[in-house]
Formats: sequence, structure tokens, C-alpha cells
Amino acid sequence: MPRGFVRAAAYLPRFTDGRCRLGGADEDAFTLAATALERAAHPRPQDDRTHRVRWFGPTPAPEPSALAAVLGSPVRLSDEGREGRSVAGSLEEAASGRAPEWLVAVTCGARDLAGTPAEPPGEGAVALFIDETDAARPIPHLPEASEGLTRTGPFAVLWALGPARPEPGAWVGDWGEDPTRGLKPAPRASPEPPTPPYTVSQGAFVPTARDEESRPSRWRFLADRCRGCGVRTFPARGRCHGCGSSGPLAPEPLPLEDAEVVAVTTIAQGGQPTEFDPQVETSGPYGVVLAQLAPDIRVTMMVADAEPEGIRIGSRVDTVLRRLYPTEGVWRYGRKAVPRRLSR
Amino acid sequence: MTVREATGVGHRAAIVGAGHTRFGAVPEGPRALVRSAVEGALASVDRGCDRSSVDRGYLATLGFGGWQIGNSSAVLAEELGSPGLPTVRVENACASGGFAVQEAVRAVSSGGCDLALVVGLEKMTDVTSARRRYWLGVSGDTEWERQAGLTFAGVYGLIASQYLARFSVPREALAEVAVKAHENGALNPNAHFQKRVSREQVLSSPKVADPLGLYDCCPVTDGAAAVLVASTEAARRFTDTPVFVDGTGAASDYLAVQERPDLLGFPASRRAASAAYRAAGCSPEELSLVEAHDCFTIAELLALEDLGVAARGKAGELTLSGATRRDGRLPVNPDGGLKAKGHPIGATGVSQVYEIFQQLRGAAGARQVRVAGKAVAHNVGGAGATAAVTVFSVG
Repeated sequence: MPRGFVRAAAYLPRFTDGRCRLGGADEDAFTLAATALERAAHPRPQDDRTHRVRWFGPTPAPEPSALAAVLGSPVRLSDEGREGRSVAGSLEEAASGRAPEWLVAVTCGARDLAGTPAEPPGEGAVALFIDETDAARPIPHLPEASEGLTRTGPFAVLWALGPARPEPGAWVGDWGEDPTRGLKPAPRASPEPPTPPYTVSQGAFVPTARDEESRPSRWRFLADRCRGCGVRTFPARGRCHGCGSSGPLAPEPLPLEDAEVVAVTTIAQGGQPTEFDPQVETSGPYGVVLAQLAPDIRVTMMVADAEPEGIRIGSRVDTVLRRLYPTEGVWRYGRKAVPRRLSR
Repeated sequence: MTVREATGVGHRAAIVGAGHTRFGAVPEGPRALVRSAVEGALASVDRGCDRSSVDRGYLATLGFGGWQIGNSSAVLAEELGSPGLPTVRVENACASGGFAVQEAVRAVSSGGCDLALVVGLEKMTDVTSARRRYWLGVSGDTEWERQAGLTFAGVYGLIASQYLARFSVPREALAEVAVKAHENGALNPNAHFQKRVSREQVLSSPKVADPLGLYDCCPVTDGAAAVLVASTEAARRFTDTPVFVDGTGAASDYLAVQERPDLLGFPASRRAASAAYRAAGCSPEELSLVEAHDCFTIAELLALEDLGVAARGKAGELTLSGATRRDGRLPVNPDGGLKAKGHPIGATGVSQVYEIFQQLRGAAGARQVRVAGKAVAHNVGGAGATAAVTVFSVG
């Protein structure tokens, strides 16, 4: 039996109005995977070891640099599903290897699982972290699990591993009963990027190169800690707000959860920047908060997965990586605020 | 890091003429608006002023009219009828006008020229709504605030939510700012809105960025304003009653509000004001007229506190007491302010100086207020990323 330890987390569709919400218009395979990875990684601090990520899912793997920005560590990526490899085979191999690895299984949309009636429709992602450094702990029930791992859906992985429930501490995950069982999928709104003509603002848009440059701050909430005066500056732009110097500065990840809303507004039709026109037309007004991530750090974020009226000053929110809007045919991503209770 | 202390200029210059177009959704294009404001300013000079007397031109504009984005200051020379005049465009978003006036003050007080022409312009109704919202959204922090779905209405909505909650200020205090602005606008023939509104109308207007409703927001307005800034020596050639620039102050701040400790005021405004008062050798108590940057109703409350005429959290009380009305202890925006007069972005800071020029010379007609001291113009770029404060008097 392979030995090592596994940390896993699933990110599953959430409920609104008692129905299963199969992802909002601002979710896609990448954001599902990113959310599962973040949860499986928690509370592991940022790690500069290179991680191998094995991607499974109906959609092609994202760029390694995108996953690296999510994980805060360098990534070597293989698109195992594309190469026809099964989750089980890959997991066995990973568990017998030496280097720490991430496996990500993603599914997008009920149709991907339509051929497996034992599994409910749904979409979501599972991330597994396999690390041999803790060799005392076996990967639980892997042989038994393998049977369920022949398919690529995340629920297959989840159920195969989930019921094992090894000793406390070995697992960090937040799934329980499958929340989608017996529920009908809600219709998915506008899954495709809008096609031109699309009123992306000239000049106000962030060029792709600068978007990529700011991903550590934008996606992972990475701040700069000044080695001179000790003050933390967010977003990280290479200049200390405390002493004005340009370094040396060390990257420091900020909390992604449990921020306090210190200001809130609801943007109604006409109050939005033009790139959010399609969103307002489809989904109506949205909330925006200024949230206190830490005593010294605030961030402005759009509200997701909640009616704007549900968020008030003093509300606690978590943050999730979501789609913002497409620019030049490419989706831009950033973190949004979700009510804390919903994301737990 | 504390943001760098602003420095006052301390030199004096004088306004010797001022012109103003009708503000509103007008048929004229940007060139015609500039021409009209310039001609008005030249014609207003008591002893006459020829265009050849102008040594230097400043054009304050954000988007011109949506097309001549680069090099637009050359148009100012053309429309003055003086091609060849050295001109420069000054752009600090909504504070472009206030900064352009200060640049002109610097130019004449340094001895570099005798008479500078400052024109503020914005032509906002030529373009489609989508294009306009593009223009309105380029002056906030585009990397973070805009990607969070915020334009300025949204940023001021956030500010208002925190301000009202922190200081337990009733929503009526915001509404009263709008009611007063419209009352004053009704007496200003150049104002975009010349109609009174009731507190109930303001409170029940459709929400744009909660808690701000439609009537809490300035309109989309075309217009231009012009002032002639002379050195103190040259001023007497043009008039016996110049309006002196006693002091200027300016400052900047982090572009994004998330990088500031709170939203309960604008440090840039406070620094600009204290520098201007220091340069003018005066205190806020000596003011008898305030032109405040009220792009949203909440902005006027912040302005009164940042200018030091109301204690922190008390501007709502001051407003509800009637003290800022035309007949109050300290009239604020007797021209209707940005809220009722309109806010053609680049024109606003110059228009504020136009109003002070009229009021301090007793020429403001039906909206004239009693002035017995100094007047201040307070012009803010965006949500406090830049601010220019200038103190005036009749000497």
C-alpha cells in the first residue's frame, strides 16, 4: 500500500433558494479548481517548492502560470485527462513518488457525468495534495478507492476517498453529504464569454501583461512586507506604504477568509462600468464591499452568491476567485466576496 | 508613510475677468464652448482686455468632447484667436480646473508672464452613454476599484455607507445638500438644473449606488468657464476691483480608497486646505463663502469637514441647521454647486472661481450672498486622489 498523506478539499455547487446552483455565470473550470486548491492548501503556508499538478477534467488544463498564481508556488503541469490516464492510475503513481503533488479533478456541467447514473449531476472540483514527507500515514483505502476512480468526475474521487475518513488531522476538507443528491440542476446563466461587439473600455482596461503581473495580489492576496520598517502593503507593487522605500520587500499571503465589511454599496443599472453591462443585464444590481482583511489591509470586491441587501457593514465575508469580465477575448479573474456562512 | 505635506505657494495673483457658458445638455460643441467662455472672460474685464494681452493659456479638460484627446490645448489658442500662444492642458480629472488655475497663479506670480487665460471645458453629451461611462470611469483606480465594479458613484456610495454609519448621520442630511443646491441653482441662469426639489423627492429617487440615489448625484453636463489670472502688478491695468488669490494648496493621495485608512474624509483635501490657509495667513473661521466640490451629496459633507468649517462628523448637522444656505452663516455653493449647476469635469474648478469672482465683486445678481471676508474654492479629483484648494479675497 502506498504511504504518504493526502489532504483533500472539494468545492461543490452551493444552494440558493433550496436549489442546487450549478455554478454562477462567474464560475468556470478554472475558478472551481482554484477554489478547491485553495481549500486543500489551507492552512499550508505559501511554499516555493515546485509542485506537480495533474489535471483531470473535460476542459483543458489552464496555463501552469495561472495555477502557480493560485498556489503561490511554481507548478509543473500535466493534463492527465487529455492523455487518457485515469485518476486511479495517476493517484497510485503520485503516492509512490517522492515529490509533493497536487491532483485536481474538475467537472463542469451535469452532461459530463450523464453516463454514470450512480453519480448525481453536478459540477465542482476536488483537489488532493499528496506528500510523502509524512510517511507514517497511509493513503486510506486506496485500493478500494481505485475502483471508483476510473472515472474523471470529482465526485467519484470524493466518494472513493471520502468515506474512509482517517484519523483527525490527516484531512482538511469541508464536504459531507453530497449536497446535490436528488436536486435538479438549475439552468446555467450565460456560460460563454460574450462575443464582440462588446464595450470593453479603451484605456480603463488593464492590459494583459499588467493583469498577469498583478495576479499574485489579485488572485492570492499577496502583500509586500517591508524588511526595513515592517509595514505590510497591499496590493504588492514594490513600494512600501510605511517608509516609502522600494525594498527589500518580502511577499506575504493575506487571509482569504473571514474579512469584515467596513463599507458597502449596491450598484444599480447605470452605475456600473461598461464592462459589467452584460452582467447587470443578466443578473441585475450587484453589491460591492470594502472589506477589512486584516487590521492593516482593506480591499474592494464585488459581492457574489448573495443578494446585495444581505451584506451589511459588520458582515463577515470570505473571498473566492471568480470571473470578472472578458477583455480581448480572455476572461479576467479576481476575488469576490461571498457571505461567510455560505462558503463554509 | 505619511503622504507628503503639501506646500502653499504664498504668492498672490489676481482674477481680473471671468466668463461662463450655460451649463447643461447644450447643442454647442467643445470649440464653441471654449470660444464662448473666452469671449465672456475678455468682455468682463472692466478696463477692457485684448486677446493679445494673454501671455499663456491653460486648458483644463478630461476628455475634451471624446475625440481630441491629445494636444487639445492648441484648440484654446485657436479659439482665442491667437494661434501661436503657448498653451498647455492640465488634467487631474474633476480637479483639472482647480489645478489649472493654480498653475496660472504660479506662472504669473513667478514673473514668467503677466496675464494667463484658464479655460475649463467638458463636452459630455455628444457621446453615447457607454462611451461616457468609460470616460467617467477612467479616473478612479482602474486596477482594483474598477474591477470590483465601481465607478465614482459606487466609490462615493461606499464612502456614504461608512460615513452615515460611523457618525449616525441621517439620510436626510444628504438630501438637504441636494435641496439647498437646487434652491440655489434655481437662481443661477447658467445652472443645468434651475428647478427646486423637495427632500422627499431626493429621498425617493431611484438608487444608483446605495445609499446614493439619482438626486444625490451630479448630472452629466456640458459647459465651459474661463478666468483671466493677472500678476498683482498687472491687475490694476485691467480693473480697480480684482479678486486676489491669497493662497493656494494642493495635495494627492493613494488613487485607490482601499489603500487609505478610512473613507471618512479626504486627507488630500485636508492637506490642500491647510496649505492654502497657511499661505493665505487665514483660518477657516475667516471664510464667508465656500465653493465646495459636491459631485455627490456626501462629498459636500466631507468637504465641509476637510476644509475645517465643520467638526468631523458634524457637517450633516451644520447642513440641516441651514447654516450653509445662501442666507446662512456660511453660504456653500450659492451657484448650485456641481449638484445643480452641473459638473462638466474640466470646467468645474474654473467655474468655482468664476462664482467667487462674481460674489466677491457683488455681481452675482439674484443669488448674491453677503460676503465680508475670504472665499475658498475646493476642487477634488475623483474620490480624493488629488485636491486643490484656493483662498480668495478682495484684498
